[in-house]
Amino acid sequence: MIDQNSRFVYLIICLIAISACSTSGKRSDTISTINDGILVPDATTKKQESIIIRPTKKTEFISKPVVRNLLKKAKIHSDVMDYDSAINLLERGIAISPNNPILWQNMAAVRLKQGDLAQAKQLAMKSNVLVEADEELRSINLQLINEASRREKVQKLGGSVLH
Amino acid sequence: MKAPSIKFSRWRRIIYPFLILFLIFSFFFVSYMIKLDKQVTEQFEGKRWEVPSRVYARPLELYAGKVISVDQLLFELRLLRYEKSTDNDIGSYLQQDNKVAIHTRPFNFWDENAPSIMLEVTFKRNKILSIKDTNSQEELDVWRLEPLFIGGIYPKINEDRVLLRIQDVPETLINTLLEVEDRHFYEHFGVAPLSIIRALVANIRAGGRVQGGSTLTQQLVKNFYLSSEKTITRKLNEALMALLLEFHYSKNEILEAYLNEIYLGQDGSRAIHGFGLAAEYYFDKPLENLDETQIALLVGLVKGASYYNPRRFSDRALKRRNVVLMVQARAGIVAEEDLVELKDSPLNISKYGPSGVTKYPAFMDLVRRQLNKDYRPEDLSSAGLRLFTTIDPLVQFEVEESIDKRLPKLEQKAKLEKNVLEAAAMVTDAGSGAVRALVGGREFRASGFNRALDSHRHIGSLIKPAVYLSALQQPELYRLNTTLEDSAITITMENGFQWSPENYDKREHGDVALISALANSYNLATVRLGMELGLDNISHTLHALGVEREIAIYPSMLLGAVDMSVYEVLKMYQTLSAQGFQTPVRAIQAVTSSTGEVLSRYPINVEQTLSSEAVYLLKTALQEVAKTGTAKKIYRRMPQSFSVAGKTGTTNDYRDSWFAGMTGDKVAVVWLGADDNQSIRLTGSSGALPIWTDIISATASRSMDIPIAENIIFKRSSAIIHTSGSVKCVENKVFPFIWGSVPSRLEEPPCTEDNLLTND
Repeated sequence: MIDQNSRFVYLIICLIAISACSTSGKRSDTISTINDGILVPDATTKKQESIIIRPTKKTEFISKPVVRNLLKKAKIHSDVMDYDSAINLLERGIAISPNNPILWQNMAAVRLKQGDLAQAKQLAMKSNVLVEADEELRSINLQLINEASRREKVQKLGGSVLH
Repeated sequence: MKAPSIKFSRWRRIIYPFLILFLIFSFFFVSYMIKLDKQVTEQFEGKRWEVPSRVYARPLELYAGKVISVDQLLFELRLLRYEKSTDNDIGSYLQQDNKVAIHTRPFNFWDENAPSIMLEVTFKRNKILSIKDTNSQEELDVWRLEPLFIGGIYPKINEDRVLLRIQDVPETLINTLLEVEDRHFYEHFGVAPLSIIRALVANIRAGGRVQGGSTLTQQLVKNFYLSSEKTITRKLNEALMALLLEFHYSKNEILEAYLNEIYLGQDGSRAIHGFGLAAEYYFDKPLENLDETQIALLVGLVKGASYYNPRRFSDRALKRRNVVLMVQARAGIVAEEDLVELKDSPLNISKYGPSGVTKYPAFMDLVRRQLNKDYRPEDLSSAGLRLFTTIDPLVQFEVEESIDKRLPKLEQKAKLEKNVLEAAAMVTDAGSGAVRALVGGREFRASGFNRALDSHRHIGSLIKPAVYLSALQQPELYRLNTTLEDSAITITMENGFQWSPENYDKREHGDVALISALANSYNLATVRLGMELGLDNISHTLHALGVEREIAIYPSMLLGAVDMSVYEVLKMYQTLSAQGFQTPVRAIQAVTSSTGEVLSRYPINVEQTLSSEAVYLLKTALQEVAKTGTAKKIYRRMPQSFSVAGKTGTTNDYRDSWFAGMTGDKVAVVWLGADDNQSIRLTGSSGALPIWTDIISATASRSMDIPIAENIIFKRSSAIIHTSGSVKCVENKVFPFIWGSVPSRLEEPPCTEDNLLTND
């Protein structure tokens, strides 16, 4: 089960990491080919033909102060169970940075807390489509999806017992 | 003994009829009073709460890195009626080179209350470099300006008001009002006979009506009626109703109702009721911020809001205001020694009132429709709700400006009669599906036929992405470089009718890579592909894209013989933009009660209905439409580095001209056509596309870098590419493939000596 606090701890770690090395992020986004000419986004994926490395884009996802600010505020609201405000702040972020997987992921996490399991799953899936090479984010999304599915099953079981 | 009896019976004979008459009269009088009582209490209860909804646009978010020009920010500030000034008052701004100083107004959003602060926004080219709170000298990450009020939702009789509570009304206003209109308000029972007599005498002396004897209660009752007929019966009724009103309600309740109810002006079809709205309408300020002279003017208007209309008859209004000022001085509300100065001061009314008659009727139409699912129309027009919508006035302006500018030129170019060409367009946010602009016809301010929502036309080639997406969802069979055949085909329908589609250029193009067939919008290749896939399959994909209507399954659907509105097309392309996730197209963010309590929120909901990998490939092909295909004109005006994706659509006999496309942050659909369905002699590329390009180049800030889905890999492969009429078999071109579907050498198109023209 994913703990919401750990989600945000993770986020804070990201923020610290970014602020600590915000200038060291010299990234080579170029696609190069080796061997048989197959290009994949990330060497860390399991595909054997993988050739090029695309560095994690996490820094880029939350490098904008405005996105960081909205995420921080969303966390504050989420912590006091004011989920509607948290979602509202994340949506403002999405309007500014529509393909930001961290925002979508946090939306999924807040919806999970609200008990909207179907949306939590869908939003985590949406985040997953946007994470590109970021395995860490992908893994959290999968945890969110699994947790939402688990709770759905529990609900269904509960339902069938009742009926 | 008899005499008295005779006398008595005579009396009886005289009195009885009177008694009976009296009883009958009493019966009717009481019945009538009951009827009046019912009427007056119903009116009073109803009127007290009938407050239209107030509708707001999206708030403009200011943050470092935002793409917005100084001009666009100033445009927004002017819409919000900020005044250019060096005084640094609330609601003012000042621009100096690349810096704009703003003293914001406070605003209660649905999620937080923003105070008034002083901002300094610094620009670098067309981007915000930084925002600073000039008081604390701190950099701000983000600041929301208050949203533009874009109109109200009124009941049929078009009354508008801003609800006031008596405790919030400035004392000066109440004192002035009572001094001028009804000095004995707190003493009488609704009617003041002495005042009536005094007024009668004064009027007879003056030989005309110079003084009114009506109490505030009577005036309030008068306002309940819609007509202004002046008959004795009506006067009597008013007096009786005033008495009844005083019997039922306290003085303060009556005064509060009066302050909210009294008619104080006319804004087009919208009637301005009450002092709260009048303060906004005439002075562009909340009531509590008015000075004595402004209050004097408003109280003066009670006597005749049309006759003393300060925007039309400023002299009359000034005279009337000064009469009220004198009353104020006599009553000690203003100091006698200030009177001369006050009388010399100008009216200080704002140039334009914030109009409640919306500038965006087509968008408001969508707002109403979306709200009608959750709210009763009468609640929308009377419960004083605050509706926070998604429209972006800056985007809406660009859409309107482009249509306004282009349509006459296009009519000329296509040799059409003037004003034949009609247009509809919608723009949404790529991520959230929020509607940022909506145009339902070239008369933007008229609330007529909403073509964006209600005009259903053939969509032509806009349907082709659904055909190609159906193919790409079978990655083992179809890839971007799969060779299709663009050659004549005749399909025999069930009824024996034969259909032989043609290409736009009436030619056959032979072998062509799937990506090129879509980029060049080849009809024959598409029909062959669609027939191979099966029409049910295409219909299924259309529904997965968000089309809700039933689709008639005919082969001609493959070329867009399917009727849809701009709204429906937008939903389809929104799903493509969102990587195969349906995202509802939303016009509303939140609804609050008049006191700020959130009643409804409309959060982003998504649902994956299509494979993200297949959508990734399709979007790559749609980028090709813009790079080398039917929409390549885009890059005559936009930098090559700014990636966009989209599709042109032209229908039979050039009846409709469409373009639907997307960037990293916007999805936009533009339609042009004639209401009588005549040929407009424009293709998607020559008609709708230039407008789309105008809109996107002015409002989009993110290039469409499609996030690479998990199972996408890139590989060099060969393909038969058609560009600008030439055919090349290119080898070693990098294509994205869905994992596991990389073609073997045998599956790649053979590049022969004849067609191997280049290595890309």
